[in-house]
Amino acid sequence: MNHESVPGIHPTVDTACWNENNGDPVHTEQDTSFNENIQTTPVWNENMFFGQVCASCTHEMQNVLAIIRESSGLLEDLFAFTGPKDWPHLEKFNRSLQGIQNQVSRGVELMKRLNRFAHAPDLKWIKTDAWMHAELMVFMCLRFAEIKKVVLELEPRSKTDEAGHHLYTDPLQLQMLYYLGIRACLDTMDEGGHLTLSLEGRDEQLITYFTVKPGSSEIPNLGTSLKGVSEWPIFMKILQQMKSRVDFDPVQNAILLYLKFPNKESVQDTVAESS
Amino acid sequence: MKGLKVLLVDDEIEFITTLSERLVLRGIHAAMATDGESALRRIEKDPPNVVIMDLLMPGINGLELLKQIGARNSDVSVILLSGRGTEEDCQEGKLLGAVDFLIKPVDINDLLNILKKNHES
Repeated sequence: MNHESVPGIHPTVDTACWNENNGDPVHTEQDTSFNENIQTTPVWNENMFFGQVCASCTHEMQNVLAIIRESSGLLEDLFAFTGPKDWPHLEKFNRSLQGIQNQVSRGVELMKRLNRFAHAPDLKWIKTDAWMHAELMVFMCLRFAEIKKVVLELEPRSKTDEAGHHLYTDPLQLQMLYYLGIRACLDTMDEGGHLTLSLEGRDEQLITYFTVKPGSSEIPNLGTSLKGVSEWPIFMKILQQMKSRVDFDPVQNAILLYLKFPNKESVQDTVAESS
Repeated sequence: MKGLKVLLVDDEIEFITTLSERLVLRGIHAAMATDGESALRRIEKDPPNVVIMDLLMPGINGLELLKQIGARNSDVSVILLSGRGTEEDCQEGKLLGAVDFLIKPVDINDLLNILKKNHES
């Protein structure tokens, strides 16, 4: 594809971290000393178009949610300041307003995450925080887990773990890997199961564990079961593109996803292949 | 905070109308403007204690408006309230003198606490 730079789009963006309030990427200096092929300016492509439209809509949705919050807040205020204290429906009225506020909060969290997701295609091959991408994909897949009555979670991390979770990669591909990995595991699981993602930086590699605790029935073998689900071939294809590998731990019933911190040559090769 | 004068500046008229009504119920004088130009005219005519404003508006944008308010009325405190602010906008806003930067939707009690803190200082 012929990539063309579009002037006026964020000059330097590092999707390594996000504004906690609205999900927008925090723009920071890029460490380009690692490799001059690390991307510092966005290049227009279809994914970016999709992301930009989506990100813009999330901001508009924040305005919509703000108006809903203020309007329900005003109803609450009017009643609290001027309403009759003995109105028989007061409890139902307040419960209903609380319901609106709770849904606004839910919407705000969704929009923050969706905004972060929409910014994923902004840059390829940057230093980024894999744990944050895992957190985003776990959040995005919670509904699928709920439908299957499975508990899905990401293991929290300590400050000391944080440095080991940063790697040079394509954020969008990394998110796809996590998403497909979660969906594939969920497809093998039944009610009452527990899927936990955890990350560990070790020996120039980032290992992501997808640990499956079965619910009512035993999974015969996670490795074999996964090969039968529709997401698995795509997961493996992306894994190949990222020059990474996957392993199974039959004792822990876990997928071990190995992402190498790429050296200069492998980044150059991959950038050349993807352009 | 009774008697505090606040000017709300945002092109989302429904948002500022509702927010102003909530502030009025708490004894705060709340006026509104839907763009930077009319906000500047209103500040000139009747300077508020605090301006609460959005960043992205038709005409003069929030940061430019903040600069102009700072140049003309050093006594007016400005709170930025936006659904679209980046970290740079926040930093630039604070450098230009904004006392706080809030993201929509905001909890009324958080906003009142900031107004109170600003009023007391």
